[in-house]
Amino acid sequence: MLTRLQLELAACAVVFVLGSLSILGALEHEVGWAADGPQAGYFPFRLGIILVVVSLAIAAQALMMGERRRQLVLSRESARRMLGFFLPLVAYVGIAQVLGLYIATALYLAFVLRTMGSHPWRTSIAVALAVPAVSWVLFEVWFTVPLLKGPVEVWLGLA
Amino acid sequence: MGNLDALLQGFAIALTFEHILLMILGVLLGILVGVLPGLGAPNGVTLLLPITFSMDPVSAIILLTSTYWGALFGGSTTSILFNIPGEPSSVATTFDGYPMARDGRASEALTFAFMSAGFGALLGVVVITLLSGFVTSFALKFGPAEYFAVYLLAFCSFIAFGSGSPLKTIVSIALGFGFATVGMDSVSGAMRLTFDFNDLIRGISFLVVVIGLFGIGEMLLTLEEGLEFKGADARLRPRAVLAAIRRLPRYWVTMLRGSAVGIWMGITPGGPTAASFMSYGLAKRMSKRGAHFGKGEPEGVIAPETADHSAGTAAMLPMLALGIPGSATAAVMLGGLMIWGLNPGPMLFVERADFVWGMIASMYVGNVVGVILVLATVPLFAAMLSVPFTIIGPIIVTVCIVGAWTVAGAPFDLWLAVVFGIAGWAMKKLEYPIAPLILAMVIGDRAEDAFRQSMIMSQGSITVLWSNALVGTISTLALLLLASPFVTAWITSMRARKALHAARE
Amino acid sequence: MLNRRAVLAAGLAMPAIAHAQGWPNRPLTVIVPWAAGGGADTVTRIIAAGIEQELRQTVNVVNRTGGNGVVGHSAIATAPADGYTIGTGTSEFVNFRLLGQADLGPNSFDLISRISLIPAGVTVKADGPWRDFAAFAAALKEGRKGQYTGSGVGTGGAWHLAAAGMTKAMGLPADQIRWIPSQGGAPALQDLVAGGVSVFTGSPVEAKALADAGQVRVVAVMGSERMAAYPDAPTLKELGIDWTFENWFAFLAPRNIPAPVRAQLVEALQKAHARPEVRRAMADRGIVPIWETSEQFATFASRVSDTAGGLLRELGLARS
Repeated sequence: MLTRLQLELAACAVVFVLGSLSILGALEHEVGWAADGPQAGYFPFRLGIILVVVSLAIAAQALMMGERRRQLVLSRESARRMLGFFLPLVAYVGIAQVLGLYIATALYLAFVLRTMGSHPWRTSIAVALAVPAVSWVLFEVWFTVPLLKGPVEVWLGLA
Repeated sequence: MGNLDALLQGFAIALTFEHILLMILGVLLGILVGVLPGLGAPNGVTLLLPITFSMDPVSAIILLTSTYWGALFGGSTTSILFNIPGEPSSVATTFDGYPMARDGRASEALTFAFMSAGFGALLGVVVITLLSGFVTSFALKFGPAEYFAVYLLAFCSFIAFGSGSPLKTIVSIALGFGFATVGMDSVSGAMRLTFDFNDLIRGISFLVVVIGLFGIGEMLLTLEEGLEFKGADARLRPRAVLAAIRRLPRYWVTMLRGSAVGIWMGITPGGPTAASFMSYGLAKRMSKRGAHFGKGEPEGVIAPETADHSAGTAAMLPMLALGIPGSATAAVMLGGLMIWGLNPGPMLFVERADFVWGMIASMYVGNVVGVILVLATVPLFAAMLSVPFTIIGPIIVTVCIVGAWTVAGAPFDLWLAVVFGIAGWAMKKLEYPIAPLILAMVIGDRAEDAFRQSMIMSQGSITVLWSNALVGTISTLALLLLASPFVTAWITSMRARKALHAARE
Repeated sequence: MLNRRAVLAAGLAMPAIAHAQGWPNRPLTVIVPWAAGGGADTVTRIIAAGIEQELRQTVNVVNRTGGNGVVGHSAIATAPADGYTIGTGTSEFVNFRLLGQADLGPNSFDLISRISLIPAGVTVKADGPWRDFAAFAAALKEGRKGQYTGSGVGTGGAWHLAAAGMTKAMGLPADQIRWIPSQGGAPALQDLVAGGVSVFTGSPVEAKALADAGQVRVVAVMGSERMAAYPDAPTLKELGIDWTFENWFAFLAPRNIPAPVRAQLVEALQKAHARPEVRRAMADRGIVPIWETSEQFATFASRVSDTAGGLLRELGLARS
């Protein structure tokens, strides 16, 4: 599904973009070495150039790597398993932004345990309730580090 | 030996039933914050601070320092068992600790980690007991140029282009330094690489990156290969523990080197995290088994652990004697001292000798208590590992995500952790080394500040790095260390060529 | 089944009861833009303990650090204006706009009151050439611009302004002292002793340990009166230099909190600030308490804004 070459090139593209961003961002400031030493953009500018150049070199290396380029780094089945893990994770973080971490955690655990782990509803719900409850005691009560909360907690008078 | 007398008096203070109880309480709480990624020793200590307002200062400091020891120990547990560093300073412990655990040698790895950490801590206390005067004057020689030289040394001793693609190592380093520059530039006050994006003003937190690269990245790798824990067997086998303890003295060189690095970095506030990386790098270079590092080598666990803990304990001295905190946690404790009505400084050693020596004595006892307690918590984690992966895996994910939140309390960081999770997976797949990126992030920010501060002082002249014996020695040492792999490689190739010539003739 | 329904019903009924009681019926949050254990954090935590006593509600102190305080201050400004979130602002927020760091200023907040003052000082190396302020001042006047260096905070921070204002009051350019930015008081003091910096203009309270150790000497303070910890250090006023500088922390709230809630909130904060145990904890820490009306604070803020703006312009740091 995904060959080594494809992944190598994708990584190079990401590094190239990050490098370019670093150069662009650095150019908003002085990039030189003035009387009082290197200015704010000095290092980001040079780091950006290094990233851009090296990413191109790695891409060239990857294109010339011979047989290994066709090596499969991700089979279709693995990809499906990873997506099965990854999509709920994204949904978890997305829901957390709106509803807060406690509810998102409970929903995530209930869903993942039920569908991916095929545990019975009873186990799934027990875990899904226990983890936020323990977190509450740990973070809110003991460490007084408030976790991200949403409208539901506010409505309950907890946040 | 006035110090030893005073220390004995200190033991009389530290070894009361009440104080031992406080140590146990502190260590247990510390282990808890240590284990949770995102929450760290500074959180634990800050949380306890208000409770200590009404306490006797000796009891208060015993509680706080014990929490710190506990956190340092606890951070290693999750590093070894789950590849998730619970504390920034235990990142380097994952490099060999986790591979050992995957080989089913978790008990051994944990024992090595805890025992060597305890050793480092004790050595740190011994040094500050015996050499307090010398140590404090040494700490005061450090200005920005010296700091930069130390960071350079830490960097050069860790970075080696031995295995893997040098180009990919360069990318890792450059990315790490690049991420560290995001946010406000503290020298000029300018916003760098934020692109008017509010969430980037605070910078990219190294802890969030670690949670993503290690925690979530590892989860993706595990998932890809099928749903199971890869052999991390944490059953505490008493026999393996004893065997590890018996084998520990064999690594005395590594332990002494690690402690020396740690004590130095603790006193000249370089910090425990940089110390552990530096110690790991030096051990890898100097050990006969250097080639085995990263594949589950006990020395690779012992080196960072001794350095990490000795830095933690040694940092207490400049805090007490000069009011200069050597770590974030020491900074919080410094606040505590003032609240209890104690003024740090040399007068503290005279006026409140009971406090100073009671605290130092408690550091001996507290670390012994710490080793015992943390070994006792291992079966608990072992029990967690026997829970099916389909349950414990998702729970670890939630711990990572919650951890990413607690770092800075920013919803944006949750996304960042996820993105770095994918990055961690891809980097592993494509053999981009992750450790140099982390190290570059840890020291990048402070190294750049120190460098530019020293350049402002010298008005743009790089010779400031050789302006006195101290900074000159450190800078030279750093450059030699950076060059050494190339030099050895060159010598080996020359020898091989000569041998070839000799064979032909 | 009945059981489950009963639990559910009880759970739904609870918030209704809570709402009926009015403000405050849930925990309060105080945002601190600086790290735990620092000056602003310590003051906040001391007063927060008092607020808990006054309101019988949990008060969470939350550290939102980064960007020289920009992150925390913008979190305070954008928090819901319901009286449940306030913050501890530090003098930095007055200059964010001028420094081009953030679109935040005194008018972005509901200014409640300053809570503590931290006078600046003139601290030099003990075994250096200057035994008193006169010697230091003479050297500074004779030296060329930028010959002597100062430190204590990042560029454009409070202690930098303290130094600039002092040299200006002495009839010298504002940038007579070349500023070496630092991450805070402790590293700057270390640089002072190590010899990289000529003068530290931060809080003499932070320099206490090193002063006791005989490493540094506080030759003057910039407060309106002498400090208890340094009875021998004269104020600049006494020395004939017309300059006082005190850094300050203040309670801020998001704008537009409903008036009845705001009145209750301000009253509770003031009472908490005045509690004997809170005052005692502040005194132990060398913190100088202050409480004022919102109007007084607003007048003060606009005056400070003008002075600081002038200095920053002369230092060439103003970007807008």
